[in-house]
Amino acid sequence: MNLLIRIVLIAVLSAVTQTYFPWWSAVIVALVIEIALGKNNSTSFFSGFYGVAIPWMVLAIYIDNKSESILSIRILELFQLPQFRVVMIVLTGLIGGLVGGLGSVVGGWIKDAFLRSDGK
Amino acid sequence: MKVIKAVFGIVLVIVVVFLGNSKLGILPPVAKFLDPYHGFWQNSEFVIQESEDSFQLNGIRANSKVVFDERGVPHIFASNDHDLYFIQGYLTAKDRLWQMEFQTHAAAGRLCEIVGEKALGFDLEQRRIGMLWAAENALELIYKDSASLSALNAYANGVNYFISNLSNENLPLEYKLLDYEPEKWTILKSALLLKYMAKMLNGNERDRPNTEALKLLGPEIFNQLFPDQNYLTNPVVPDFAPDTALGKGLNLENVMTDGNWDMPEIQPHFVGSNNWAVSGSRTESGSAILCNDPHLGLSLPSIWYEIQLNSPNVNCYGVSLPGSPGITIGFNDSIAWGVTNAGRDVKDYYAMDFVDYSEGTYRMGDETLKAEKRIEEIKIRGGKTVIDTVLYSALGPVAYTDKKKRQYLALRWLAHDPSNELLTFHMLNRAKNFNDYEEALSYYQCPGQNFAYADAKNNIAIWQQGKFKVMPKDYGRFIQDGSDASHLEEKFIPQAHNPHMLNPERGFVSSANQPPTDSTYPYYYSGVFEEFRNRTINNFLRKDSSVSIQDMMDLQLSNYNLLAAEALPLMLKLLDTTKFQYPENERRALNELLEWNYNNSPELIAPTVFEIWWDELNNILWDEFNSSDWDADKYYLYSWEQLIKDGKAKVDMRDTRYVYPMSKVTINLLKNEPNHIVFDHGSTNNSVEVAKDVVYDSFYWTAMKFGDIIKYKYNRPHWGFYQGTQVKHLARLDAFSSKKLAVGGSQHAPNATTSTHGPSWRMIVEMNSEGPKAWGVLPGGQSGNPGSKTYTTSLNSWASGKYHELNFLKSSDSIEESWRVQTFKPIKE
Repeated sequence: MNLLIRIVLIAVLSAVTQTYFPWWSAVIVALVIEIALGKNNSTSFFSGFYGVAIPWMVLAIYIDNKSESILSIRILELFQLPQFRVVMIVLTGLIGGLVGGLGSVVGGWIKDAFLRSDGK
Repeated sequence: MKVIKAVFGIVLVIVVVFLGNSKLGILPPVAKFLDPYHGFWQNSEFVIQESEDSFQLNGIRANSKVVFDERGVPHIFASNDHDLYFIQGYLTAKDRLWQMEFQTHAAAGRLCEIVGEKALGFDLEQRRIGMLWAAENALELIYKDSASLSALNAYANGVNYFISNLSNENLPLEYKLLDYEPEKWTILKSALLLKYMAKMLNGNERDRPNTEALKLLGPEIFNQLFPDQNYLTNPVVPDFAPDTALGKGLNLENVMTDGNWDMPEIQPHFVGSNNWAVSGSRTESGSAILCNDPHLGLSLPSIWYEIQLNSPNVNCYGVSLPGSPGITIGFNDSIAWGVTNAGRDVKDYYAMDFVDYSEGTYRMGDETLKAEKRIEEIKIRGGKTVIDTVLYSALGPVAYTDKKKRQYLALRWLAHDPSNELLTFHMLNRAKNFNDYEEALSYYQCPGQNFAYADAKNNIAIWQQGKFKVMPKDYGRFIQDGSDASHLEEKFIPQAHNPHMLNPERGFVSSANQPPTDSTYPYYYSGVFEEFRNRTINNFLRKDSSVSIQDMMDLQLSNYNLLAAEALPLMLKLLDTTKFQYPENERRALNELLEWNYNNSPELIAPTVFEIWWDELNNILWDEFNSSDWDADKYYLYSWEQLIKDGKAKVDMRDTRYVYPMSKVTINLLKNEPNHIVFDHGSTNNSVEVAKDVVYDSFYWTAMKFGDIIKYKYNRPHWGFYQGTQVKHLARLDAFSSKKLAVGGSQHAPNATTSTHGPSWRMIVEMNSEGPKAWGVLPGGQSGNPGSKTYTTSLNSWASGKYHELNFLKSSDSIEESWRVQTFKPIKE
């Protein structure tokens, strides 16, 4: 339940910050949320991963539908990847997820070092 | 321990953010690029667009309306000229900003700033031939003319307004991909763009290859293979003989032929164009018709930007160059005009006699002069700035140097001179009659063009306008002695003596890059001219005394290959079929040719066989000019590898120091002098070959290659597939280019399409007295964004020979329901 709350919070807050700031603001959001609400580190990667990957993919799918994949297919061709629209969407989600996941993992480490002094 | 881990984590985040934001090799910054909030996704244009009806534009003075028709062509209705050009700049930037900036960076020799060191050679050359200097010289004159200056300033402000309001997510795709940002637009950039066009259209210099060929062949054979070209029929303006005194000719024995000049490869003569105008006495409707199709390197975004410009002072429709205000080719209510390249040589090279190059001192006449130094700083992305010093002699910048051999070539290019071509177009946009046209042309200098003209009062005209030197015979064809001070005495041909005619008796005017005049013209000129398209066009216009719009379209789209019609019967007559070695292949190739109507239609096989044969014949016949790598035994193998690699069986083993003689020369030799010494192969010492041998040898290779094409190319030897015309993205990215298009054509047919070049705009205008009617098509579309549907809207129409009827609007109210209308409002202070 806590994981789900963190994912939703990261997704919503990062969507807000990214309208004003570059992509890496999502990494900071994931890091901060994990410090604030993270329980233990076994799930810290997933909060950032899903928290960033899901909105990135949702937005990509929305744009891709409205634009009939005109650009995603060209970009796949440019980087010599298989030309299926799903590849571009998954790749976008994956990169977003990885940088978001990194943020939340490091957030967990910071919490470990400075806030969880009880050694749990 | 945990603290170390946390610190390590923070460092890791910083590193990943940095990497995700940085260009890595050829990859764009990965996370920044994929980020759907700001990255490439944001450049995907929605198929159904919502847009605001009104829009504030800081910088315009009054309300303006813009109508976007079904192809996205803007029709600007402004209440004054300032707002008109401001909005033209704004909208052009919106659709084409990256292209505008990339081309002007290229012109200025600044590509290294974008793509890094690999463009250094290109940038250095641009600096040394004085591109920036030429643009600065042009500005000097532009500053003196308020009309063109205010148009340029308003246009630049419009572009800059767009740039300053550009958010990260709206940055054009190529900036995201190459990871850089646009800089401020200046009027210098507009001037650079015109020099970029001048360089493209003046690329037919032959000074070095002529010098080399003269050295190789001697004056007698040289003159036979590279004759003056006014012996050809059907010039642009026949019987044009203004009174003037003739200069003396050069003595070819005295041309300096020592030295191997280190200059870039010669541009093959692919660039060309057609235009013609037919008087109302020879049209079905009774109104004059003007047609124009400029052939250039095909590229995406399209070279041209279609637009209508309307203000109380002007109402004009046509195509503009992104980066330059006004319309370059088009029509208004009263007149229509179109351009083709004059093809005359306006670049002269002089071997300078430097006393001390580092000091910049050189000898000229009895004096020792000092060259001016211009320091060129070439900033290199991810590298150290390169400093280059270019010396400017009295005869122009020293463009090519070989310090070891102490060889220095100065370039005297007429595009270096102060000029304001923009004013010509500014005035043509507003011209009402022939006198306005004549006055507009008086400001036009470089690159020389044939301006065809038609008006609503049924007048037609053509004028080859440009700045051309008065020269003795053979002047400017070779690298000349730069220590001779008499080169500094220059005189120019007055406009009235430039070839022109108004309402000729034959009822039409035309040009297709042929020589401008016949031997009645008293001035000497040289250049690179086409010898076939013009005759096909003139034959058509002479024969049909009541042409329709459909006839004009058919003529622009005609694939009739007059070169083949003249050369092939000669080649077949000389072909000895008893020598056939592999009859299966040879018979098959021959049979294709026998029934051919000389049309390079995409669905035919014969043009493939002919074009291969013509190439092979030239390569074998002109073995005098082939590079030392040329090995008769490996010849076939080499071309076969090329065929596998890129589907093109063309062999080009020629030595780039030389240029093959014009096709007409080759045809004349086949016809009249089959035993000429040039037919003898250089590689065979014991035998003497004649035309028959060259014809058979080349046919043999053709047949073998053709056999392989049938065998390995999935049975698709048809000309359209074999030629495979492609419209390439400006940065040569295949993913943003067109697929290979089966369009057919030949550089010698009116539809002058090759694998890389072709009609960059086809336009037909009928000058009715109640208002012009026009048709046109671009090989691309309005938008420069590969993520937009309008990036290639017209490509299929272009490829299949269809035209759009152009919407020349009388007012912003006469529109169709599906079109968008935007009102631009000034911001009140």
